[in-house]
Amino acid sequence: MKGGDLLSFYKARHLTIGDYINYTLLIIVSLICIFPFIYVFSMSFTAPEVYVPLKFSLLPAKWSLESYKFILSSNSFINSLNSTLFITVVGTCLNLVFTFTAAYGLSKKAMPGHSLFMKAVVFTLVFNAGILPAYILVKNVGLLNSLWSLIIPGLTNAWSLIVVKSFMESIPPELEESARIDGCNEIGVFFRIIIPLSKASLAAFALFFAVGHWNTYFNAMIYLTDTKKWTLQVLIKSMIIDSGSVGFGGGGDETILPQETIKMAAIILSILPILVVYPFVQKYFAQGVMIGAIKG
Amino acid sequence: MNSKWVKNFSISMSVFMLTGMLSGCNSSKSVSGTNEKDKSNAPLEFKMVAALYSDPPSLSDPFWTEWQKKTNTKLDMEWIPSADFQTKYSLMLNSGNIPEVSAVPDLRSPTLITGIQNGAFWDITGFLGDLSEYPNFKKNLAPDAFKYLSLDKKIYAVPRSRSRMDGGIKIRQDWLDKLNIPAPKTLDEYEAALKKIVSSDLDGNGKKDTIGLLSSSVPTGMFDAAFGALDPYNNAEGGLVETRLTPGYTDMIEWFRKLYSEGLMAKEFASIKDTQAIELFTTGTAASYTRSIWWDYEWEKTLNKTQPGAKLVNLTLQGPKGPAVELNTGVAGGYYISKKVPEEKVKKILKYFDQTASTELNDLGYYGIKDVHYKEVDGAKILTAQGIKEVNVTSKGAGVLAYSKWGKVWSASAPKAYNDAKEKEVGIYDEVGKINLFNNTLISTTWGQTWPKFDDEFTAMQTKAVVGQISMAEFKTYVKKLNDNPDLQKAFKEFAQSYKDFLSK
Repeated sequence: MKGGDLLSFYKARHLTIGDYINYTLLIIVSLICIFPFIYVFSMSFTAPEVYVPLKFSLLPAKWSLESYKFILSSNSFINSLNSTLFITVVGTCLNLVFTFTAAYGLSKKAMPGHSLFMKAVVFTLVFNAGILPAYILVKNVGLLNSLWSLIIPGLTNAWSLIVVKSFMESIPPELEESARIDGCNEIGVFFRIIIPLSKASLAAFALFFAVGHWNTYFNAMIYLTDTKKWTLQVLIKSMIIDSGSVGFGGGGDETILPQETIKMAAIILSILPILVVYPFVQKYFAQGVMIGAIKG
Repeated sequence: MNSKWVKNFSISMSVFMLTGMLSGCNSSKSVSGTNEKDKSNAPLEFKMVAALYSDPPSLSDPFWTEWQKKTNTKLDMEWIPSADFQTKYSLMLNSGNIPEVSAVPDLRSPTLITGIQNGAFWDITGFLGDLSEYPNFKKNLAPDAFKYLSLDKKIYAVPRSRSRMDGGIKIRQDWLDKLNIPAPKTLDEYEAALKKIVSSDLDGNGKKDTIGLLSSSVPTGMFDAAFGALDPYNNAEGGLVETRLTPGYTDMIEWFRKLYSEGLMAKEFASIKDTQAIELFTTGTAASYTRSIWWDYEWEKTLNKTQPGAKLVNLTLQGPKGPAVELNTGVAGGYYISKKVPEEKVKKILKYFDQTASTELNDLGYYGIKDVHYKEVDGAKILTAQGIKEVNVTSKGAGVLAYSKWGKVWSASAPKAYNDAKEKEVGIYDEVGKINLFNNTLISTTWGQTWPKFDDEFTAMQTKAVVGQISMAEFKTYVKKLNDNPDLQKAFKEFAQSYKDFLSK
């Protein structure tokens, strides 16, 4: 009997009514989450001439690469992509170097001035000077309008330092001792013992920093004066968000806005790299952050 | 072996960082030493910050090359996306990082006022004098232009000239004709016309889904004039009440509420974005929309693709307190010169701005170069594809430009006959329209500090009142509460004083 088979199958899987409700709810939630993506995706491939606002369709009424062609042929997009790639690649590498070396130092309680350094780090977690002092600092050290202004002020941060430090404290000291007996100095211990053992958190933090750099918006907007150096997010925001003074009454000027399909294509292009990389690094991501969390 | 590794690592690290730093910075260095003997014809070099309204332009494109050649300047432009201009410009002002010239669109932003009061900019009253040295300023500026650029009776900037006539209440002429409705002359006739259009299925899709009055928020511009919201209104204490808190404004909200309840406005208008509104209108889903007049030609072209015969007309509607026509001041912001600039250079920069107010430079700003950016057909200049790309709002952002009465009425891509017809259609606006005193005119520091706290709430309340989520009585109570707020009352008093100063100038 078919019904009986099915029943025993479900019994074997131990699915209860609660499970069904859970699954249904989860499916609904995931559909809600994925919906905007599909909409943006399909709009970006819609031919501009057939696009009608406020008319919803899951698949383009007419497929076209027009919007992508327009964006990829514009110099500003390519310039911004270069800037963003530069700060993402160089910035992430430097973030990792500075975070991991500093965290290693902080994980050694015997280090002279340890508690002072620790207090200094925690201080920045609690107190923040604000935008204006940061801007003045960047200006006075001559980093205005340099892509380095998006990298150097944030080489590391207190939260990452503390998480990585806690993780490093969880590495058994015996491993380091045996390395020292074999003739390793501090640096050797760091590169030959600590780093290989920290691969999961390296991957997690690499992703973490990379996403941060990829999404750089506010700092890029205030520090960069040359439009050729703009990061992707600044360009995309200026393309997408309506300008402050629209129409009349503001007494002013109207922004010339690109069509909706072009904006959507720009969104897809800007999230694509992260979207592609994320699933592959995700397992390290959860793992890496957890490792630090357990030790606390 | 280990120490060698460390050494190599640190050397390569520092080299890596150094090269990076150099490559990041080198472009910002400029050669400033000029030869003494050809100093007199050397182009005037200065740095200007301005708002960006389009794709970032390249200063080496044909338009900017010509602009700099004609004015004998070498401009160093820093563009800030218009939506972020306030944020970034405040940081620049507050950190003392003020470029030689600032093109500020909002004359009454609190940071700018504070900057002026703290002496960040040159008082140019003395330089301008009786304008005898500045012929173009003398003849080519909007009426009262320098009044708008003054603070405490001193002039601090030269204007960004823009047309006073700008917005128009557009309606589909072809639809009116189809239904035999004469062009509406009053708000009541307008309402009746919208009703008739909405109840007939004009796009023939079998559904009565045409939007009457399309907007992306409560469409207050233009209509406010018809309800007297732009007329100076004093409260009991002698303060001058801001437009949005006047009884006229509340009457207007009540009128919109009626339109909404009759189904004459888009159901979800509060969530429509500006770009979507334009697209809805140009795809023929709405009867009426309020926007700059000069769009008509291009929008008709787009409309005709899907609805042949589409035609737009701008209405002059009589309301209970006058015609529904709002004008701009004619001064859309100004160019401020940093106090750090030496006096000699200030004079040169002012000369540059005077030159940009000439008709020659004005034509360049509006149309670009002949046969590159525009072609002359039957005496009218019509922009080419390159013209549309390079000659836009951003390209008008570095000069004063001559005040042009029809600047926002003419379409740069339309034939002469079309623009002539538009002149006839809206010519009356300049005579009957009203200026919003609180838009780039009167100053109150208290208002600048207080109103941001209420702005979002007010917008939400007026939307709720229009869609019927709250009663008119509730909205009126809310407006009264704001009117009774001591800080806002102080602001009204400051506005009254500012108005007095403005009239006496």
